[in-house]
Amino acid sequence: MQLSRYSRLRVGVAFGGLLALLGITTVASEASHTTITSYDHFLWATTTWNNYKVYLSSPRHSNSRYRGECGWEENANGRHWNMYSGGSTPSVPGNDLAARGYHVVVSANARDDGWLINRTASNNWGADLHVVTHTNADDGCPDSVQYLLVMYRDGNQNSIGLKNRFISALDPKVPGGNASWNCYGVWGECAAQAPHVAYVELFFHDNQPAVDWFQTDYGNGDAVYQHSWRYGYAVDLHLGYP
Amino acid sequence: MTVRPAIPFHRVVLRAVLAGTAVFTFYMVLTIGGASGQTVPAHPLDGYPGFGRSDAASARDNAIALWEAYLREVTTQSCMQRQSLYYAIEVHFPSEPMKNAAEWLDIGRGSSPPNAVTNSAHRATLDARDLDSHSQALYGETAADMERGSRSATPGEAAPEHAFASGACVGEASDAVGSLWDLRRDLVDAVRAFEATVRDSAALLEARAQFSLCASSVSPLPGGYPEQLRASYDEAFANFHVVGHDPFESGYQAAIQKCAGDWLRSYQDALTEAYPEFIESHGQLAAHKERYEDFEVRASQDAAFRDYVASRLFEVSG
Repeated sequence: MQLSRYSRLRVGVAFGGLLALLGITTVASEASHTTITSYDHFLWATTTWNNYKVYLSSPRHSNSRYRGECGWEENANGRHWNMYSGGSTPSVPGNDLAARGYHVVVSANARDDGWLINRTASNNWGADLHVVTHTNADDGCPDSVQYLLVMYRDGNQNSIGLKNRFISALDPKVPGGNASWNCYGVWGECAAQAPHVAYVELFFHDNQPAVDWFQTDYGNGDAVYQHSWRYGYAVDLHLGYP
Repeated sequence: MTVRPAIPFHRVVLRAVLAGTAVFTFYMVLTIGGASGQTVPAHPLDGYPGFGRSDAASARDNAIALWEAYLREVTTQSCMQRQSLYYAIEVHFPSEPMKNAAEWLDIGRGSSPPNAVTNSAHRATLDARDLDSHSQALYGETAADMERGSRSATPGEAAPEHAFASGACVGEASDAVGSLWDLRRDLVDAVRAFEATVRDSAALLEARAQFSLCASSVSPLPGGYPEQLRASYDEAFANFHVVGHDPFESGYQAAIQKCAGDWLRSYQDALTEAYPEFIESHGQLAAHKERYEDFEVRASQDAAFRDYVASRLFEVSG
């Protein structure tokens, strides 16, 4: 069968589109829920830099996978959310932190108990905001406890303000209620030297409905896809759109 | 009817590959924003270490920060060696800013990674008692607390005097070397507040009116400058947000594209005009600048530092 020039061109373009899709899928999957890595990921501000550096710290538990998870492991949950919030895989283009003018580091999430590596890297880089994102557990899957927890430094107005913004931006969408308490002097990463620190336990990974909320649809997390932009929104509100 | 010659199949495949590559590249540029983000224009604080905003000044700051991080590690190692304990120099620094700093320092990639036994490998060889002693000497915390990342305490109880894992040798190094970021941490919010004042000042009244008028021609959202427009957009987006349906995005983007350039020029001029007063009223800035005046010479003469960075570049570049 002899195809006309136009038909061949159409075949070529369609095949090219397929190749592009394959390439895009490969890049997008870098941020997938399956990634465990000892490398950090840097995101330059995609608009004029607003002078703020954000370190998004992911969990590095050595026993991730065995922390009562009903679904994806905790280390992957935190980094997956961070990658979307930062802007590596923009779910809502223009609304992530990099698109808002922030330089962003998404930490590694290796299973090495390396929380201090994250804190030290953040301090050494001179991050202005250090935001930790973990997922919580009560008694292991299945469990019924579920709330959003944002921890802060007692007596530090920057940290309290950031905590309040995170709660008001996330709580309407994260299932269950919310809670917050002081973490300074108790949790190591709360002692990061950044002037603005918050420690988020996004949802309970041993609560099946909460896990379903986080993981379903779009193949890579409905909640991540729909709501990760809320980090950028909260940070901009907190800093007054610098 | 014109009869066109048939195109060989291999040329069709070649076109497909080229089309795929073009679409893929376009996607990468859209989503990643290029290899190094947008070029940042010169800023009145560029000359003050820790406050660099332009690309060159920001790279210099990364270079100073990397060197200081290395010096803290050297001091930590000495402190541990005084107690006959092992400690390998390990600078933790985000990889891209590290490459950026190395480029500024003109340090190339080495031929091998650092060859010392890593601290985690060393700690894995210690029995429980020695591991605890090592943790206490290094961080001032027990090994069990270090593994957990938290102090054995009840949430909500009064905070102790020092931050978790910031004492002992790590604390000694921190006190001895200091950090260029200390002043930035003290002033970053004052800088933000100052720039917000300039943004809202009478000097920019006309520029705000122009931006507002320009933006209103393409977007229903109110805003006297890009950040205000962004806040309006966020508010609207938060209320109407459904993925795949955003009635305000195109208008917002069009307004930024059409109107932000003129605003930025006026804003930069106003900053340049206003900053001398800020610098004068924050005398620490001048002292800070003086402290780092010979940094480049000292860092370039530190052969051990340069070798270490070269070996780390091997590690992060693969």
